[in-house]
Amino acid sequence: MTTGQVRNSRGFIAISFIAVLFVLAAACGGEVSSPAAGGTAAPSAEVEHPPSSPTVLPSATDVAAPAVSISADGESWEQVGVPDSSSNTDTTESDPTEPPLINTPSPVANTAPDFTLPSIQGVNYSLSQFRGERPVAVVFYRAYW
Amino acid sequence: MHRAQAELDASGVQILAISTDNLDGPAALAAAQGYEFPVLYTSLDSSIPKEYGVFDLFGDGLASASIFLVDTNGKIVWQSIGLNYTHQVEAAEIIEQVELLR
Repeated sequence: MTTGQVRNSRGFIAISFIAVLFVLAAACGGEVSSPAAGGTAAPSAEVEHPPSSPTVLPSATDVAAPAVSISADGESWEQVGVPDSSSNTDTTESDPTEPPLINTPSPVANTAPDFTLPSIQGVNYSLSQFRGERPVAVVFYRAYW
Repeated sequence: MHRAQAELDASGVQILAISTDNLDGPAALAAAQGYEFPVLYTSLDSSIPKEYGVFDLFGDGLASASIFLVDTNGKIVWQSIGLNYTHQVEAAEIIEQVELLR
């Protein structure tokens, strides 16, 4: 009885797992096919638009149509421009608050500040002792490094 | 860091590691002594990380993980300052800058 129940449960799990796989495969197939359809549709729409606009310009009445189009463009640019400026000020105000820095790194002069420090190897080292010999990588490290 | 040491040695760079951690503990000493490059410590004096502008950026009293590449004239030619806790610099990045010196 118990082995039968175990087999039944295993079979149910396997079938449900396969069903989930099919659902996932169908979802992936739908996602792949839909962009392909959109991709083919989008170029055709773009191709259709350029012929339509040139045909509108010569066919439209000479005075009224250009005046309307210019005013519409001007309004649209003004509407876009105002939110952009406000959003820019928002980002500049929010950026300094996000980094975890408490102090800002101060700029260092081009010449590296010299130092002489004891080492755990028991020898003192100074930056200037390598001048003219080798470039030095001064590494400020924390415990994990 | 050991492999980085070998690569940097081949490139002719002298590593001077400066720690503002407390290296008095024997465990920390033993771990640091595994390094072949000099490990300098400034546990009692933070003036040097302050001069390099990397001290206490996170309010923890330590220097941030940063690297300054100093050429043979004592000029800083490249720097990478740790602006967050996870900042790390790959040895290849340093070697690339060293190659630019030549």
